[in-house]
Amino acid sequence: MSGGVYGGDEVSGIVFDAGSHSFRIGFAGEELPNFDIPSVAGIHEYETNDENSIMRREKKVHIGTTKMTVPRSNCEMKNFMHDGMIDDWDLFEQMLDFAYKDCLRTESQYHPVLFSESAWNEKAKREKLTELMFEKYNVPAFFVVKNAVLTAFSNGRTAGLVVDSGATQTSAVPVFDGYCVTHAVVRSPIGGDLICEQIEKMLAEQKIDLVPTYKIKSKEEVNENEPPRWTEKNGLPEVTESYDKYMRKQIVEDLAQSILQLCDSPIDVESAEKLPSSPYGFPNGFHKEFLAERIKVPEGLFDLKYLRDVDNSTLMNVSQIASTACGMCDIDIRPNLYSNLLVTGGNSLILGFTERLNHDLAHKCPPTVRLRLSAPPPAERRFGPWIGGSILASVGTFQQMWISKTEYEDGGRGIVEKKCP
Amino acid sequence: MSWAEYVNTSLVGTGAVSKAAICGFDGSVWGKSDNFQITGEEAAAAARGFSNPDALLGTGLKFEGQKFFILQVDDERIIGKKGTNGFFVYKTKQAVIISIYEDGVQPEACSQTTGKLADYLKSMNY
Repeated sequence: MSGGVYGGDEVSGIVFDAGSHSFRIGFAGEELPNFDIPSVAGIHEYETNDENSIMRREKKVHIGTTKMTVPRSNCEMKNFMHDGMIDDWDLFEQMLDFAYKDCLRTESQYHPVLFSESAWNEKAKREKLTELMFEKYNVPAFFVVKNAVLTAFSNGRTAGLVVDSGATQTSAVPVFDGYCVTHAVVRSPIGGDLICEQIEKMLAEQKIDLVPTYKIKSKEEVNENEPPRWTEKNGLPEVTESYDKYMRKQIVEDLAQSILQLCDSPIDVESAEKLPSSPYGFPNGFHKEFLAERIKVPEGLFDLKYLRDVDNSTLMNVSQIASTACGMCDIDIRPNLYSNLLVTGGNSLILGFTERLNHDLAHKCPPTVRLRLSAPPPAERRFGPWIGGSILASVGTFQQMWISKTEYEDGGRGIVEKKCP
Repeated sequence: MSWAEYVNTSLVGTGAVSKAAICGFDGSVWGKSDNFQITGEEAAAAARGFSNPDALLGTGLKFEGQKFFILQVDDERIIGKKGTNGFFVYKTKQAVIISIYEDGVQPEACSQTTGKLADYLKSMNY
């Protein structure tokens, strides 16, 4: 079998968990990831004169919140993930370089690497990743695990239905004995990004001007609902549309975290009006109490008719996703899944999300089944797969499972299909 | 080398596989380990699984009369489990290799050993 013990106390492994919203990086054995960088990077193209005064086009990639949020002209924001899988490999390599050089400040050849991947990752992509890690980064050992399995591990389980509501989509993945039941994965493109779009539409309807922070020089205090008084920064470069959009989304994400709430049963409009309001202050000084909107927007996750301007004929709501995934599994393991429902992903942090899912599923699942839903505390839900990876990579019995460099050299990149379920 | 020898040396002999058989797509057992009481019908069901994965998923597969849950099916491999035991079925050009692991044998090791033999058989056009 594989030679040598790689983990243990001496050299810890590095765990990477790439999501469509952020890329989590850290040393195995830690409680939380050491770094959480946006999956989006600014790609800056500009012209420069070299020593012979010849015009050249240069490309510079800005990674990490501090560097990428500086307004620049011709700087396009780009995400290296698409559909939960690594898509832009050039950018991904730059991200890894950044992770090793500027975040972890270590050299890749000393640390085994554990990667998470989505349950629907393609064979070609996982082979490419294996090749990249061994050939370019020279890692001593490598492993990839499905993120749903890691989430189950972070909750101390080997089986359950993992409902992951992330930025781009919500998925339900049945996990049994440490394996993903890949044929029963159900997913739907409703997630944090959709909620953000809905909020932007809601703001536009209410004629609230969303001013991104980079434009604001100063602001004055105003009373609630009064028009804001603020001054614009001078000499801003002409930024790209994608940059402006990204910066606006930052505010919307903050707004979503601050005000949104889900009722624990389907709403009727009257009771929604009676619920307590929640204030939010925009960066330009404008502030307002949000009432029924804060309930109606996230309600779209569970009742698609609340989604504005979205063709909902092909979408599934969150509770449908979960029950369909259960329904596609072998009948003997279904009770096990219903009583081990795990909720993870940043979008599930909306207040009341788990209670609502519990309520809706209780109506859908067979009466003999005991539904038990567990949702860990917020930090663990944001970083569920990473924490599972951190646990797995530091467990003693896992050390013999790594794909070692020798095994890769013997078996080629195809080895990842055989060793990693 | 006879088929039984392949099973005994390359699969069960490594210690990473508890029971194994190599079968044709029609369910004929070409070679198997002595401790594996596989029937022709069970072998044929496993081979059929590759052409009709959806049907497998609801019903599972039976070996020696025991039902295993199906965890994954793709073009070249079926993974199944029953308690702490489980199986891997690899498909080659003309045959399927069925490997069962029991009692603490590492699943990854079983998969790797079986996969290696499958790659070898494929390279020999079997």
